[in-house]
Amino acid sequence: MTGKSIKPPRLAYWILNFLRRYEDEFLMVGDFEEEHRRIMEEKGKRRAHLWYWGQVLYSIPAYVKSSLLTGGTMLKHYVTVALRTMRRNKSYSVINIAGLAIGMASSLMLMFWAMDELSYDRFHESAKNIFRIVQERKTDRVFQTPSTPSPLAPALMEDYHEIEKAVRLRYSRMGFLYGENHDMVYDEGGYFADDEIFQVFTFPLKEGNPNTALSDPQTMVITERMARVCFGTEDPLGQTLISTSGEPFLITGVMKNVPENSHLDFDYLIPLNYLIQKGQSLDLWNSSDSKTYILLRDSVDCRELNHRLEHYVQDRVPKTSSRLIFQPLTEIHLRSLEGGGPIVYVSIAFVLAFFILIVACINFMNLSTARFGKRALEVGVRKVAGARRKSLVGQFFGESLVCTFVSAFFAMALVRAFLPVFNRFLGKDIGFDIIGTVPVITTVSAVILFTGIVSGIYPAVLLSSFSPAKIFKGFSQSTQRMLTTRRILVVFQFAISLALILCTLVVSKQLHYMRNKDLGFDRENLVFFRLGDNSSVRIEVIKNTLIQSPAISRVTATNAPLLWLGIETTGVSWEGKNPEDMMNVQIRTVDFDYLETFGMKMKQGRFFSREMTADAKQGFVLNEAAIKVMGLESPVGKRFSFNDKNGEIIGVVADFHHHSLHEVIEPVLFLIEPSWSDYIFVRMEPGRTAEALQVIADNWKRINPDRSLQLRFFDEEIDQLYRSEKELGQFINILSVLAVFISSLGLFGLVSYVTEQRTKEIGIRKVLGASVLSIQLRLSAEFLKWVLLANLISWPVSYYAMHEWLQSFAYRISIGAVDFVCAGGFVFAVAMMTVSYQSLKAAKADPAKSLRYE
Amino acid sequence: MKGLTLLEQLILAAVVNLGDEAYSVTIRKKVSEIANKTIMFGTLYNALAQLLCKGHVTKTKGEPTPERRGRRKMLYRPTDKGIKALLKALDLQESIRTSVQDLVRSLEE
Repeated sequence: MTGKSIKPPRLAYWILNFLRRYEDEFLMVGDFEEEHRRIMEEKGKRRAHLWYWGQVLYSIPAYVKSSLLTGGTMLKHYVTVALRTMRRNKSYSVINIAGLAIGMASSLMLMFWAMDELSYDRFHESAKNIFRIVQERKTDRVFQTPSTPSPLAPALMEDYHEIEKAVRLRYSRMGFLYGENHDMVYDEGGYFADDEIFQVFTFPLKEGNPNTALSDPQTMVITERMARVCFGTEDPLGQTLISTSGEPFLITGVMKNVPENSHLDFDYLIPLNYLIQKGQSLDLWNSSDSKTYILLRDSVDCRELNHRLEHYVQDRVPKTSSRLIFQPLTEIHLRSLEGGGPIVYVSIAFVLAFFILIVACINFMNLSTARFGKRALEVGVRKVAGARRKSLVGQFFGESLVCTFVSAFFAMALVRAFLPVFNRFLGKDIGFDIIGTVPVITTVSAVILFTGIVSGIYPAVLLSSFSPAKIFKGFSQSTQRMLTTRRILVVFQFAISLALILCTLVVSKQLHYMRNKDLGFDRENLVFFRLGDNSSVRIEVIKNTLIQSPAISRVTATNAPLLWLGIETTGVSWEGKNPEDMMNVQIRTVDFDYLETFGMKMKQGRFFSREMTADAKQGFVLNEAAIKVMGLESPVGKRFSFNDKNGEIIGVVADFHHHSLHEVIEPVLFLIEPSWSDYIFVRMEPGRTAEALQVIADNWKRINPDRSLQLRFFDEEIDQLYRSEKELGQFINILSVLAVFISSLGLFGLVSYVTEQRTKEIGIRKVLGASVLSIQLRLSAEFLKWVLLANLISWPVSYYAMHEWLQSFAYRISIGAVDFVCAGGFVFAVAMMTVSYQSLKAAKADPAKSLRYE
Repeated sequence: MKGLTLLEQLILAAVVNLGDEAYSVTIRKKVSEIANKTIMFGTLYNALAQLLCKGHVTKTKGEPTPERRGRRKMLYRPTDKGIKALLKALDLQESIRTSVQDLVRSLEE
């Protein structure tokens, strides 16, 4: 028999060792060993192992029962002692538990936010295999756009076996009439889509057949939301909705609302065939007006395929510089094409969450070690009374674990309480059940374990190791050593808080800058509404009646709200254009009052004018960005053409930001084309908003009695663009205040601990004639030294981080030294306040009292 | 002082029987020989603890042996008091037996 095989089963052996209740008195393990061997010799290995396991398992219930019986009283005692110490140090305990709870709660919230951002578009069943095709164009700069030629999708599907499905989406601004008298317009926007869209994306239909719903041109699928608005409780299937242009659409499907975390947001889908039926060609390779999404077959190497069809469009339209890029569906929301995007914030959020957690943990450890330090005497008494080291270790670990557990519990309560606020604030829809997800559970338990164990390690290991004699004699050396560690922790903690404050400062400055930067037009006092149909006669009527009011200074009509993408085209050419040149321009149809209404400025030439009759037919106005792309020296007077419209450039508009400041200004073409315009912008006289709105409403009723008016404020729409930045800014503000708060708690705890330790020293100093001020200075100086050190550490780190972050903005501020001094000063002030409160208390104390004990 | 329980008598008897080689494994084996039934180690330990407590046996640590993979064993020895107690218990049993002798005989017939 070999040595190895006679061993009992390892796991059972291990358990037995754990349960060694009889070991000390009876040397049980050896007995079992011997018996095991005997059975093995007599009846074989299987029986022996079985016996061994039986013995071990059989002893577990008895063990649990007995340890509960004997442990119960001990446990009760521990709880009593723990509660007693907590009660005796109420402020410590509250600070301690609240600090960790707040820290945990805020980092959990951050994590929820980041996880929600990461979840974008992952609800599609084949999300992994769906890609959006992005076209990269090279003019004098490289830019990427999701707009692709309409024939691309069917052509790709035919030519490449690897592509299972390819669908096109084209944005639709069509509005639909609803209400009893068909007097309301639903114009939340939707898409023209290929009928196979439901085979690519997972947008489940509640009613209707996804395979056939969009096969006829005059049909549509609407969302539950739209169905509820338009039809109330009636069954929408089989009903008809009439568009603002008078076309009826049969509803063939009702789909569930598009989830919040989808980059595509729409309320209805209409077959692309409708456009064909309307006489629009979808076979033009040289204009990019559809979004193309492809579904690859499983196990297709997308990079390799991408490489093969990179120049697909270029092969058909040799003049272009087009290059096709596959963009994974799940990255569309996270990474904007220009670089940056929410992924930046997601990483910021994770880093923040981590640091806040660290700050809170350090704080907890600091305070609890300080508190445990005072219990050396208790340890001594316990040891004298015969406590074993094991039970002391267990007691202290248990106590700190319970504390962290209680904090976690409070953190959950906080999260539960603030989640609705948080959701409203960030426009999210996160349910409390996210608590049950794996990453959250892991984090929370990791934090509980980590903080509990680390903060319990000092009393558990160090205090329990001393001999009682040493404890009663008083031991200063080890306390000193612990103090150093604690100081380092405080420095670290303050460095993190400082960095957070610095980042907050820079972020909010950048946001302020973006909100107040000269956008190139005047955003105040501007309202707009959609006419619903674009008959030029009506536009003139409305304009003329509105302008009569003294509260309204200007009125203009255009094809798209300024900041939203209207129509894009590459179908333009100009004098001196190289055949390879390509320009993607946004088209704004305007009228003569456009420039003044928006308060934009001309760079060169002039805007369209009523006096010049040729302007309407042959005039073109572009923005500076377009001129730059075209590479013209003196653009005014140069020939220009768009589709079949030929004429010349009469002026250049100074650049204005028509998109988020993250992005570079794109070329824009202005032209007079009244039949395209159906948005009316009204500039009101400052301070007479109410009057102006009344006038607009009255007129609307008169001109358009059968529809309700949907007015929007322009500055609110612009704020929408910066919403994510603004929200994030406020979020970070709150968080850094929290971080500073938690750090101050830590400092407060530490200072009070140290001053308490030095009570005698202070007493003696006072007896010898030291003034309150000098004592206070003495005590403060030491701590402020550490805060200063924290400053030095965090400045370079946060400078680097913020510098990197600012790179994601096309237009950004520079980081100034003032910010650093401000943040440093703030932290310093907070620390100063904390320290001086405690030290004043200590310095003012009656020395007779502090010296009396001994 | 209370007398010995049946289990204690059994174990004590086994310990007396085994002399120098009385430790838990052998005791358990002996008990099962005497009484024709096996007992759990836990039962044995608890009973031994009682005997120790009452001063009927003493224990000493023995030498490590290979069959225990180098572990020591706990050796037991009866004390005089223990032997007396055992004898007393057996006397008691004997007198119980005598008291029912007539009955047993009548039942056997």
